[in-house]
Amino acid sequence: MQLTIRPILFLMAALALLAAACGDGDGTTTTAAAAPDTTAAETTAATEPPPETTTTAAPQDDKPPIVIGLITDVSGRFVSFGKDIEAATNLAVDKVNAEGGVNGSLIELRLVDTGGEPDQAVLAYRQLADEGVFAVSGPLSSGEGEVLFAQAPSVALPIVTGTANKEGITDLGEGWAFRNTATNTALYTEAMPQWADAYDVQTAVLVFDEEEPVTAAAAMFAIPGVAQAVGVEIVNADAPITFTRGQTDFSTTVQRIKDTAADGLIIMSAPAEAGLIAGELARQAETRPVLGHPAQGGNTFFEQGGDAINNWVLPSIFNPASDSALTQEYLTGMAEVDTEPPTVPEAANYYDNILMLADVLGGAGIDGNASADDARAAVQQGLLALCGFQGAAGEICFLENGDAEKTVYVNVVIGGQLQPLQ
Amino acid sequence: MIQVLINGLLQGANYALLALGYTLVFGVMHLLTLAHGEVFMAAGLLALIIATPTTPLWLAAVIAIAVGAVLSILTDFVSFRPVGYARPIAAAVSTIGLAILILNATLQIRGSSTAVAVPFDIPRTDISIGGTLISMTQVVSLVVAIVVMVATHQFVQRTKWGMAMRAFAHDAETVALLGVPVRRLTVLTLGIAGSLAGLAAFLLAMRIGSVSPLTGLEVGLIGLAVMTIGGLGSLTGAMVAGVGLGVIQSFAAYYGFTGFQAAIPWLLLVLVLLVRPRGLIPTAQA
Amino acid sequence: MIDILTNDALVTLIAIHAIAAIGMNLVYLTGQLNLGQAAFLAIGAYTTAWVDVELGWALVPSLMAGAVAAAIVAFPVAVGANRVRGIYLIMGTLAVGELVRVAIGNIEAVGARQGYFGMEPVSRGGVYAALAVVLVLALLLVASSHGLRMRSIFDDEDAAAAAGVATRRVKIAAVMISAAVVAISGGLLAKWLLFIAPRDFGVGVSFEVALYTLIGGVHSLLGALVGATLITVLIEVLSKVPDLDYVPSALHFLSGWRLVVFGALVIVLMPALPEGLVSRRTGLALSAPFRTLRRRYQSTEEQTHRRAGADLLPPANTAAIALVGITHDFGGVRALNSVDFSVDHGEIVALIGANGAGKTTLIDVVGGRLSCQVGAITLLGSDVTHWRPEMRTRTGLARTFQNVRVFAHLTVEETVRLGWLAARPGGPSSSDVLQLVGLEAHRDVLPGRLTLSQRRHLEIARAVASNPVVVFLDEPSVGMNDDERAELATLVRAIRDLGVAVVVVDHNLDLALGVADRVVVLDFGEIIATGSADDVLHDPRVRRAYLGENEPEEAIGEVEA
Repeated sequence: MQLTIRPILFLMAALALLAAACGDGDGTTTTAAAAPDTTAAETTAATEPPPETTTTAAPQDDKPPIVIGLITDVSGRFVSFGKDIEAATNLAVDKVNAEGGVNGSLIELRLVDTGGEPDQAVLAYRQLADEGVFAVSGPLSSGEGEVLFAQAPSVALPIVTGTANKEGITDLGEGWAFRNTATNTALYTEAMPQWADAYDVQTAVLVFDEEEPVTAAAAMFAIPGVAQAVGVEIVNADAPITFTRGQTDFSTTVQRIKDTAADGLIIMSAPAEAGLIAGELARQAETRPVLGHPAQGGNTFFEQGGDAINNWVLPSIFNPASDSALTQEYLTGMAEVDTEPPTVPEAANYYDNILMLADVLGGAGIDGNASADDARAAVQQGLLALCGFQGAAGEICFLENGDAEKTVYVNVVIGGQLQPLQ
Repeated sequence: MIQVLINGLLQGANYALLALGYTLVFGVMHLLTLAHGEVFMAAGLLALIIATPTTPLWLAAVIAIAVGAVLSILTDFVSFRPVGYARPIAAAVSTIGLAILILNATLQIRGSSTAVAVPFDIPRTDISIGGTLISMTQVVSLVVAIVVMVATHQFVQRTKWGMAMRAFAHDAETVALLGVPVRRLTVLTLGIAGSLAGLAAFLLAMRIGSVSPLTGLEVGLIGLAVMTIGGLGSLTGAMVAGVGLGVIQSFAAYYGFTGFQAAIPWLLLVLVLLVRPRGLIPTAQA
Repeated sequence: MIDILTNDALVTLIAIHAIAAIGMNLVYLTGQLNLGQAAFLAIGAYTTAWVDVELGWALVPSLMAGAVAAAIVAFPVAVGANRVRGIYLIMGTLAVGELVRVAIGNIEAVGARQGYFGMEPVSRGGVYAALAVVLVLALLLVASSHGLRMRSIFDDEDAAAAAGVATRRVKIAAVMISAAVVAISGGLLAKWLLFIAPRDFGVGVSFEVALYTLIGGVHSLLGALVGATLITVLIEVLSKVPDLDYVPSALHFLSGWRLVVFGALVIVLMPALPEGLVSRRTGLALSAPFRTLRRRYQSTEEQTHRRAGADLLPPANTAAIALVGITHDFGGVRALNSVDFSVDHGEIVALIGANGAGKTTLIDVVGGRLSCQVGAITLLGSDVTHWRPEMRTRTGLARTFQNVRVFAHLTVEETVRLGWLAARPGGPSSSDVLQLVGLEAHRDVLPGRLTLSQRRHLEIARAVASNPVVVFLDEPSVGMNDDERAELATLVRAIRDLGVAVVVVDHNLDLALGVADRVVVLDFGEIIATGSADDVLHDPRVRRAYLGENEPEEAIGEVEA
């Protein structure tokens, strides 16, 4: 008996001591809430250059740079997006700097690769905060987005994604998180009726990756409502066909799709799995029209899908055919640096993120000498007030919750290229 | 329905081929190689990268099998020998290191996690049985997998080298004293295991049309689960468990076992271990 | 470099990982490699987050809720894990990890696959305080008697049971304690990430937590800290390589290749440092300052225990041990056939017989390593036939093993102390026993540095320290020279003089017959003779069977179980 009881007593003693050592709970929580401010203040003190001496004495071109962070995936499952995003961001930084920078300070980019891992993303965001960057562009996926946006209120560093479509994640940021792209609902409100019209779809089968945050959110929260609104019946609403990220064998999944009677298929997936599904659909001679998700539009999808993805319809926030000079400048620039076309359409949002941040900082009179706190507050206020800003991906207008109103375009894959749906 | 069964059998044969590799290595050397899934991935990927649109099918298969064998034998030289056969945990940990290395080196060299598509045309001849279309590729794959599994089993049971393997599994020291070249025996064992992985990867590529660098982790873990369900060191157990799991998964996917699909191999594993702590078909040595 | 290492966010993450590493260490210490720690990390994270968000609990109680929840879930896992060993255990725990992840993904109350959020952030101070408390408690646990029992299982579960350790309970407790500690790490992680989803707790996380301990070293908690720090920092530093001015640009590619470097490091470290970065010997050196302190405490404890049993005398008219009709089959082969014999207090009995005669089988049945199929074993008047081995030891039945089984990572003193922990009151203190077997000069040495003879003595010391009524010595003189054998004979007599019944099983007739008061001869599982050394040596059946005067080849080549 002695032996059974001892470890449990020990465990209890351990927990009791833990309680004692940490003091009363309320006290700890208060400290926790107060901590981020302290962090920010300390870091600012540490990173800020000695104020009076430098600012007044230094000539314009010696001004310290404005540092902006870019958190994205240059490795891992979304790497084909990350590389285009990095290229688009660099293009914008070069453009701003070539035009004289922001209030005399050049923009310096601090790129951090998360590898798609949420804890690496948090580490990156917090470190960028400690290093005193003025704003962060990113992250790539909704999975990272929800983690970083949840951090934003306590870290108080403005963060703008150009890709994460999952509903509601900007609310986590309590005013510090921004989304320069459309939500799933916005995407499909535009795309679904066009798709249904073009292919005469009245009923559809819903298929989705149950692990991938953005596509699962689209399938569970956006598609059903939109479908009802536009009069497309989801025939398997009660029995969704799902798969999991990393799955390689889709033969049975496709078999089930084939055995379900409907006019069209709605497939919500990340790029790799989407490519595999496309291949399997072709193998099993399944040719019904498909409506996809922008998250699957990376190079991976095009390489893996080959001919099998012809006629897949993908909504997007970018119109490559736009006659805007900025859009064409962006496309020309990307054509020079992007070694593996086609370019991910959403990369344009990251180009715009930099231009937008430069505009906001410029308008607030912020330069590299500003304190991080002032600069971040200025970015936050500036973005909230931003409306009518013309970017490569069209006009940007932020709402109160940090979401943006974006024009949605509907594209179709023809011959390995995205073209506007007729 | 028959189609779902055939899909299941094919996927199951794939698991079984992979699990046979684990089982051979564990049965003979009492060691666990956690790099086997990545060997599988790398063999399939490299074969598809090396192959050109004009490469004959058999040649692509040979390349996959050869790459698998070489990488698997590498496990012996990189992980097992330096650590020593007598330290199973350290050896297994070392193979985790090797798995991390192979996977990430592949990702870095390729520059993306994109799957490599089969560059040549996969022959598509369909036969119709009672209204169900069945592709010849699938039938051939299934037959090849079964033949190879039976052949491996016979090799271990009947040939001189197979007997040496079994004897080594039973009592390594005595076998060494009897003059059996132990080094060649371990190389042979890992070579066969790797070849089976290479073949499995090739058959998978034939079936789904591509190999993804990320496939090793998932399939590798399922292979491990299959080996354990079948009973450590039991070749028959690995085959039965592999095919069984494939069929169960296929039907579960068809009937929409939504939300719990990823749990199937692990649920089976726990259930089997609770009822039969040494797997479906326990062997004397494990 | 310094900038990176002093970065607050990184140090916080290291501290969170270190707590998980300590948790992993506490279970692997009992030889159970749990590759499903992601499950307990997840349970801790979700429970902590849930009581925080839904019930508004403060940091400490919410962390404790996570720890308790994990310990509760760990209980059935631990019981199940006890049924399997080695790879089956690894695979079983791996399966639990995946099942918990999938299960959480289906619980709508915590957001299912969509993730869960809304918890209060934890301050850096909170994380460091938690690490400090967990570390201190873990150190106390490992240094305690219970810790010694845990560590003995790592080296040899059978020998630990023979030393009186309730291996089953200790292992179950270890899984639960470990789960609780890992859950605290998970709770802190949830309050650091502020958004958690089932996908954050995959197999990779389990592997990573296991690597902290395996690379750092399991035999010292410092190893857990070193392992967690090294791995977390390595990945981080490599990813920052391009930002470091003093790293030549030719090496910048290392950033992308960081996981490749990490994999290579694991491969290089495993053969180079088999026990991890912090080996048992390093740990031993580090704990040296505390040893005197502990020794003083232990000696007081042992003296009290001794006085408590000072007037404990063996019951009169009862044999030390009595075996009746012991029969044992191995799949149709009869190893023991209706063996009856008893040993009196203070008597030395030599049990001899050819290879395959069933001597070791008999000891295994008596010691409880093999379950008794037919017959009865009475120890000091109590029927112990179906008791677990450790209960027999604690009631006064001690044994050694044929192929010396000492604990590779316990010092001489710890090994003897382990035996003493199972002692009936009234026996010798561990330092008395060390003196008796002549190992007091080697008390802080690991068995690896002892001679074979010394290791035999150590094993005997462990048995004697448990204050046995009867001790079975299985082939104690194998591999000894004549001098060592004489020394052993003296030791056996000294043990007898303590009032202990001694059963010596030995091939070496000089030793067995020289010390024995009585000789029992076993042949093909049956007792064929019993009596004084002279009597049995002249018994024709003994001469034929044991000394092989006829059919000398028969016994050769048989292997004892």
